[in-house]
Amino acid sequence: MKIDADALVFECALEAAPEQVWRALTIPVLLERWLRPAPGLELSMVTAEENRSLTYRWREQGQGALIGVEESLVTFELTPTNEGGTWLTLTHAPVLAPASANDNRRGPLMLAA
Amino acid sequence: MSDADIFKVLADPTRRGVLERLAGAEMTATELRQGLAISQPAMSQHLAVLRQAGLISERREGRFVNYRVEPDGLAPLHQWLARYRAFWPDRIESLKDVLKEMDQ
Repeated sequence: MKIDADALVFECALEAAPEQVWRALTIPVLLERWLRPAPGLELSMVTAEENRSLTYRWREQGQGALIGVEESLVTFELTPTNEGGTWLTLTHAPVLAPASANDNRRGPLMLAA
Repeated sequence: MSDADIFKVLADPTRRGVLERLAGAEMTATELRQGLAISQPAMSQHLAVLRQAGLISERREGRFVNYRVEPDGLAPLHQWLARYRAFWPDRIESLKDVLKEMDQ
């Protein structure tokens, strides 16, 4: 068993420039349209580097808290592609682990009991 | 301690290490400390936290206490992961739709 409770990571290409993706991630009316947040979800921006990277503190109530998570971090990293689009890397970290706990490893969480 | 604390419990690298070692076999606190620079009281404290979080259980055998992994202890973490493994791909598809709408 290896407990690597670092993060969930998703990556994909988007057919929009980083500037446009940035607006979809940061303008509340646009964000809510695609995120469709559950009632009780609180998002607060932790770090932001315009058109490049953005981290929200993700606080859940209700169902999320019931299954064991109250607080996590969601980070969006935007990289321009040669085709004028954006490579999106989304990292959702359940554990507010100190940096030393991460073994300098990143990647999809692998956990086998 | 409630389930809500499981992530704080697992945030500690020593406790994750203890859990990983116990996955292989039952061990006493003394066996667990072998090869680790950790005091006996500190190990006891970590074991208590893991036990209260439902991640391990103890079995007494004479003077010894054996610790083992509680199989269902990680269920909240698995549920959380399952939830967001489904959530984010769905929301990313919606994000693509919103990006298209913004073009118009």
